[in-house]
Amino acid sequence: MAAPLPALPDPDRLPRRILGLCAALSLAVPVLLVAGVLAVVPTSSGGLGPALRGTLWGSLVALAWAVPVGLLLAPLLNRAERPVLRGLLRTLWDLPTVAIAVVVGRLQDPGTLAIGAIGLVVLPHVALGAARALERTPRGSFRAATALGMSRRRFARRIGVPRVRGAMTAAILSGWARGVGEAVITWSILGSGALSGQLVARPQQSGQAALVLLAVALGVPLLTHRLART
Amino acid sequence: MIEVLLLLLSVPIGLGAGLYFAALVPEDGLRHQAGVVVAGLSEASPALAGLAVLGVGLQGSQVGALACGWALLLVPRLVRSVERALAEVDPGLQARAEALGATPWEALRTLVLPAAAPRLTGLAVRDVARTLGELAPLLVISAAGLALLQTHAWVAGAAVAWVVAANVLATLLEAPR
Amino acid sequence: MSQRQLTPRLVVRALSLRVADAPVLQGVHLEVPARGVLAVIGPAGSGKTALLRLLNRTLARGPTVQVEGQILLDGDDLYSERQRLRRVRQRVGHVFPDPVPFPGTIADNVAYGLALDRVADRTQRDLKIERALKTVGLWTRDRAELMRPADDLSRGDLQLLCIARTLALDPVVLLLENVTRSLDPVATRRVERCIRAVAEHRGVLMLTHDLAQAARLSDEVVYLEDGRVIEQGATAQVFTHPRLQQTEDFLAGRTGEGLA
Repeated sequence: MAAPLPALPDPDRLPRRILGLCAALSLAVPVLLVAGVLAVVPTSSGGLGPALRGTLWGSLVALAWAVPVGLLLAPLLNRAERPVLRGLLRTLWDLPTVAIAVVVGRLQDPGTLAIGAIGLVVLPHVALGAARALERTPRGSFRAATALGMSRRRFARRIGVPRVRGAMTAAILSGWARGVGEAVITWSILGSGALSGQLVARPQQSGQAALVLLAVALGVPLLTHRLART
Repeated sequence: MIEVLLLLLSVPIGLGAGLYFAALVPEDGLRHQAGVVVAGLSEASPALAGLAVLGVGLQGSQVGALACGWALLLVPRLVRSVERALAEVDPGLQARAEALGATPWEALRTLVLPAAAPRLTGLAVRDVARTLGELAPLLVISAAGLALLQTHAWVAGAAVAWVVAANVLATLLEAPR
Repeated sequence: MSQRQLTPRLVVRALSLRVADAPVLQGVHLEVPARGVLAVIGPAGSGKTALLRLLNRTLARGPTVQVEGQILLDGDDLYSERQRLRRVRQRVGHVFPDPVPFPGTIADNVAYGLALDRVADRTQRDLKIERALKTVGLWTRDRAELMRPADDLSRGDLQLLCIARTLALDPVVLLLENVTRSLDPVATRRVERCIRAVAEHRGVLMLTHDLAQAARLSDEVVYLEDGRVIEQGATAQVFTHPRLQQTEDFLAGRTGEGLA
């Protein structure tokens, strides 16, 4: 009489329960974020459209310089041979843009410089993410292919690039998401555009901004999760 | 009182949750997905946390807003850091420890976690510093006071100093023996 | 003294395994002798690995995993409720194909299983470590040598260390899963010498794809195909005069010709 394997008593009950409790508590984070945003949305005023568009536009412009530089830096980061460069990028990654906003705010024309500054936090996302993507290149296949006569360019085009495309896109996407979040803060502190005064003086009415930020915060990680797996 | 609890407990809760999701939960399933969602929020903007804190109704108390924002930002980051640190440990360690009679938790505690400790400490130190630095904009948005920041512009400098120091510390901690 | 005079300590009777309605093992009978080496050979997919996993209770449980039959260790049902899992794993040792050292020194590695059991007596512990390392050929009086980090060792020595790690717990039976798979010929020979040394005092069940190795090392051999025992017996006999054509085909490398 065939039967499933017998179950075993779980000797790890206690640690499992304690850690499970921590995990349950951690779920309060997404719940609170969603609840808080939904509470802010109804009281918000309209007319934020153009300012929000400005923020999104600003984040894209930051991408414009951060992505090429990031992609250029990525191959350099490939091995652990450049701890200083890696450390520098990690520091940029952790940088709160409040610092940049306050500094830039003291200048005369914050506009373009502010966008540039946002790029500083987007850059490490792209560079380090792309470096990680490159680490997944199939070295074995490369040696085999070139030994059989395939040119490096052809290999890159037919095999290398498709393999890393997903992870690369994920890196750029995560950089953009960061840029959006930081742009909202930078704008609000710098005081250029309707969004700024709004967010700081009457944040209860920034429902649209809240929704966008929530959508980005929840959606982008799920997307990058899927992309990085391909 | 609750604020102090939140401030102190965010770290163990974040680490514990990270451990649970990364090591004690089957790869496919609802609990794993929940972990993915929490970890995914690690790059959420402090502006979002600030607005959420506002929505929840904490704008009166600055300390309350700070504590809540701190927890909202730090917990997901620690969850992701645990995941990353554990991923770098050789998966064969767990299987071999269990083959010698260790329970899954014993294997984690005696072998896997110690192996992951340097990397985890490095990542956690950076997470804490980054979150500290982001409390300023969070406070500005949730407790509505740009003047706060403008009078205390040194906060910006302090935030940068935190982050740089934490990264240097992290690099030192993660360096191989 | 031939090992046939001692009762086998690990006995498998009528073992059948189905996973997701597909048969993996069908009516397997085998006995791991109290001393000596039993080799289990067979093509990929023959169920060898699943069999191994059942022998130290590491096969993953699940609703689609259905088992029938008996596995007896010293007469006790391995899967009875009374059995403590830790004890089972200590008595039925398992060495993996790829050597992975634990972080720490050589001594730390060998002591790991003992530390779990909290063998408090220092002298006891040191004695067991010494015995294990002597059996595999890694022992030295030089304390400093034993305090070297384990990852300093060569691959072959690492595998010997992994065997010592398991031997420290004084297992009744040792399950060796393709342990020389990733080793160069010199290291392989060293590990093989170690296996013969181990087999002088306990039973060894060895999975291997290297038929020459099976012929060199084992006293008895079991040939599995599609989850069934096709033939088993004394190695010398099976290798030189296999009873069945199937066995002969496998030994001659003819199995698997044509598309599967």
